[in-house]
Amino acid sequence: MNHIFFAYSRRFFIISTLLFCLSAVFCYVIDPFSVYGRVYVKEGMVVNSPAFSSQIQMGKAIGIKQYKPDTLIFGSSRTDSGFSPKIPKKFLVNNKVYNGAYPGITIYEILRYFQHANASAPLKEVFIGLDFFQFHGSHRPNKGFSEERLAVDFNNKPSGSGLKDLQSTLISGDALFYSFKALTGLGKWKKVYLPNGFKTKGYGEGWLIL
Amino acid sequence: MLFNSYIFIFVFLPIVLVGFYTIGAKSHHRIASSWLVAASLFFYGWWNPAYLSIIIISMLFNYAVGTALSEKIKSKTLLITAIAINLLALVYYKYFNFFIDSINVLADTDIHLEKIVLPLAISFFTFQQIAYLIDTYRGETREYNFLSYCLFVTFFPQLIAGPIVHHREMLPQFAKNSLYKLNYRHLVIGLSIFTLGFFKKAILADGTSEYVNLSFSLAASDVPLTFFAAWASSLCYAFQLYFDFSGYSDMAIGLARMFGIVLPMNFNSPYKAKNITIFWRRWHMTLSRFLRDYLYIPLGGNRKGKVRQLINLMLTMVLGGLWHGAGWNFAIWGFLHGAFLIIHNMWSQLGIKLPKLISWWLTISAVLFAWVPFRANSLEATLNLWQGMLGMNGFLLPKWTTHFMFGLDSWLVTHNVAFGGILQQVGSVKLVDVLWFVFLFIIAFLMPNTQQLMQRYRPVFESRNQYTNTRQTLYWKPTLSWSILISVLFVCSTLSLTRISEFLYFQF
Repeated sequence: MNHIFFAYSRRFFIISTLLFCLSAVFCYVIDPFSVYGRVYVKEGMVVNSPAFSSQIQMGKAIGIKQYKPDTLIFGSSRTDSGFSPKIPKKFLVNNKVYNGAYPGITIYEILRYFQHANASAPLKEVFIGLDFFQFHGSHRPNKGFSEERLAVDFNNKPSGSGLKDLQSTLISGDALFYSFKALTGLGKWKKVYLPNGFKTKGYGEGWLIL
Repeated sequence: MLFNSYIFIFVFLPIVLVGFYTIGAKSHHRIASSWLVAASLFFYGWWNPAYLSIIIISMLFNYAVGTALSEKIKSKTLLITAIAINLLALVYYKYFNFFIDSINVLADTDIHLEKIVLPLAISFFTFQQIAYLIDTYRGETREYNFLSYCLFVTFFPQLIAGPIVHHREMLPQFAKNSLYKLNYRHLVIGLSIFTLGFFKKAILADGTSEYVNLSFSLAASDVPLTFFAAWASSLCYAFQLYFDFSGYSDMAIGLARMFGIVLPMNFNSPYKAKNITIFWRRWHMTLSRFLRDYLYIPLGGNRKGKVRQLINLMLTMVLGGLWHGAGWNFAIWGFLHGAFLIIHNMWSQLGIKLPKLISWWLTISAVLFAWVPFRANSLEATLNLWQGMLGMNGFLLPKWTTHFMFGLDSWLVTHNVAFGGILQQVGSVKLVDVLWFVFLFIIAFLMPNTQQLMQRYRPVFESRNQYTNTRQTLYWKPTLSWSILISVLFVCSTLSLTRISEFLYFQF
C-alpha cells in the first residue's frame, strides 16, 4: 500500500518541478520586466518591456544596477513624466543619465535609491524633483519598494541577495501574467520606458519638454 | 514565519521533516520530539524572539501547576489562582489598551500608556492550557512528561491560530512509537490537505481581499454604500474570511498529518448551515467546543431553567466575540450571534419548520449582517453598511446588468433602482468579477469541503459520519489525476506568493 503513496509523492514532486521550470523558462524568454536583456522594439526604438511600468520600483532598481549611470534623476510622477528623453542629449551630452523617478516616491526611497546607484557606479551628478508629499511623516514607502534588492543597506554596507527579484521575475503569478500580456503586443501599451528609465512619450506638458 | 511563504515551504518544513524522521528512524524518540519542540519554538520566535519568553514561562508555569494538581493536591484555590494568572496575562496583553481607551471615552479622561504589543497566539495557547489545568483538576488527564507537554503546546502546525487542540487528542498521539517512522501515506495525505488549504488561502481568499478592502474603507470614509454594494461587501468578506481561516486550518491539519498527527476539524462548510445553531457547530469548531465545555456548561448550560440558559448563551457568545479582539465591534458581533441563537432556540420551541431554502437564506443573511461589525473598523462604518444593507442608501446596479434583464430594468427604474457605472462608490465591477464570485459561491455553498474530499483517509480527529458526503466520485485518492490536480494547485498557489498576505486570524 505504501508504494502507491510513494508513487504519488514522486509524481507530485516531478510535476510541480516541471511546472515551476516551465514557468521560469517562459518568463525568462519573454522577460516581462526587462531584467534579462530581451530587446523590445517599438516605433524603431529599443524600449523596455511594456510591463516594465507595472513593477516600476523593481524595474528601476534593476535598471540602475545594469545601466550603471553617472548621472541620476530622482523624483515622483512629475519627474517621471515631466522629463523628455531628449534632455540628456541636449544638456548632459557627456553624461550617462538614468531617470530613476517613479510615481509616489518618498524621500526615504530617494535616499535608498541614491545609495544603491552610487554603490553600483559612482555618481557625478544628481537631480531631484521635490514634492511636499515626499516629506509627509505618515507617507510610507511604496508597496513595490524593497530594501532587499538594493546593493547596499542604509549604512552603505553591501547587501541585497537578488533572490527576491529572481523569484518575482521568474517564479511568480505576476511575471507569468505579464509575460502573457507582453505577448499580446506592444501597440496596446501606453506607458513604455526606454532602457535609461525615460518614457518614450506621454511625458507631460511641463516646461522641460523640448 | 507564515505557512504561505517560500521560507516556510521550501526551507523550514523540509528541514524539520527530514530532521524529525532521520532522528526518529534511529529510535531516538525523545531527541526527535525535542527537535520538533525546538523547531516549533524557532517558528514562533521568527516574528519576534522576545515573545519566546512568554510562551516558555507560560508552559513551565502551567506544567508545574498541572503536575501539582495531578499529584492529589486537589486544591480548588490552586486551580482558580492558576486560571486567574493565565487570564491576567491574556487580559494584560490583549485587553489593557482597550480597557484604558474605554475609560477615556466613558469618563472623559486622558490616560495615555505605551501601546502593548499582543504576543502572537497568546489567545490560543492560553485556552489550551486552561483546558489542561481544569481537566487535570477533574482527574481526566494522564501522567504526561514535560517534553510531551511542550510538544502539545508548541507543535507548530497548530500553534499560531489553531485548531485549538485538546490534550486528550494530542498527548496520546505523541506517545505512539509509529509516529517516528516515515510513512508515505501520512506524508501524501498531509501534503494534499495542505495544498487544498494553501489554494484556498492564496488564490481564493487573497483574490477577494481587494474588493473587501476597497468597500470597507469607503464605508469607513462615510461614502454611503447602496443596497447591492453593501450586501456584496459583506458577502465578499464572508468568502474572504472563510477561505482564509478554513484554508489556514487545512494547512495546519495537513502539516500535522505530515508528522503523523491528526488534528481536530475546524470547519465543516458552515455557510451551508440551515440554522444558526448548526452554523456554530460548523464554524471554528474547536473554539465553539472550548466555549461550550469550559464556559457555557460551567455557567450552568441548560440545566438551570430556560431563562438562565438563554442568559448563558448570550454571555458565552459575547465573551466569545471579545476573545477575537479587544474592541466593541467584536462584542457587538458576539451579541448579535447570541441574539440569533436565542431567537432560534425560542423558534425551535414553537415546532414550526420552515422550508430548507428559506431557513438557509435566513441563516446566511443573519451571518452576513453580523460580519459587518466584525470587519468594519468603526461603529460609523458598521452603521453605514447596515443602512446600505437595509436599503436606506438606495439601490444601484452596474449598467451592464441591463443586458441580462430582458426589459425588467425599465420596471426596476420605476422602483428606485438606478443603473450606473456601479457601484460608483466601489469602483467598476466587471462581469469577470461577478464570475469570480459565482465561482467562490459554488465552492463555498455547493462543493464538498476538504475533509469530505479526504474522508477515506481520516483527515481529522472526528469520526467520518460527522462530516460525511455522499458524492463519492469526488473523493481524493492517490491516483495520477489527483496528483496532477494537487500539483497544479500547489504551483498556482506558490506562484501567487509574491504578494504575501497574513492570515486574518493571526490578529486574534
